[in-house]
Amino acid sequence: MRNRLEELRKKTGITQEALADRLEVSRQTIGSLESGRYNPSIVLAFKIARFFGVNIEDIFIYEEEN
Amino acid sequence: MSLRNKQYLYVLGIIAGIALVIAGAFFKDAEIKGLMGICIGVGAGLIGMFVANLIILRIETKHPQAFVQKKIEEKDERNRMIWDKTRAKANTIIMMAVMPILTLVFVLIDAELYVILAMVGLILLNAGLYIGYSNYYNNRL
Repeated sequence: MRNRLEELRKKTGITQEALADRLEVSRQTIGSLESGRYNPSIVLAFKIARFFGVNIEDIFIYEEEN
Repeated sequence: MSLRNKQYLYVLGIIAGIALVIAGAFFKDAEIKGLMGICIGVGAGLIGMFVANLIILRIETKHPQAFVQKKIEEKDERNRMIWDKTRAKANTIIMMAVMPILTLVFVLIDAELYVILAMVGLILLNAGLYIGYSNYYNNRL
């Protein structure tokens, strides 16, 4: 699954630490999400989408595996 | 529970630990010497645990931001996943490799039967817990 988290975060001008504080997760989680190493739970995906004021599908892009 | 109540609880725990250690010192007769060891052991454990809790509580009150960060780290879903996976892997290695090999070694060196039975019992207990928890989570989730 790809995501646009880093792009949206930078557009908002917020640091990884600040975003982590707002979402109540660790900074490492934000880093892992941005690098695509970790896929969030549906609850965290909703929190992220709400924080940026967009739909989940606008941040997380599901790609079929071949 | 409020910080003050926690403090009272920990102090009570320390007092209980000290009381157990002192009580243990009175069990000197040969027949109840085992009780002396248990009292001193449990008492010392209680003292250690509650003193550590008191120190942590003091750090929490002095550095509330660090405490908030610690809570976030504990609740963080990625951290929880890492801990769960780590525990599962460690358990798999111990129960699937170390325990069976160790049991086989004990059989080969002709160890006492109760040692071998204890090892087999542990492996069976682990398998039983695995089946039990699998069923539990299958029904719950």
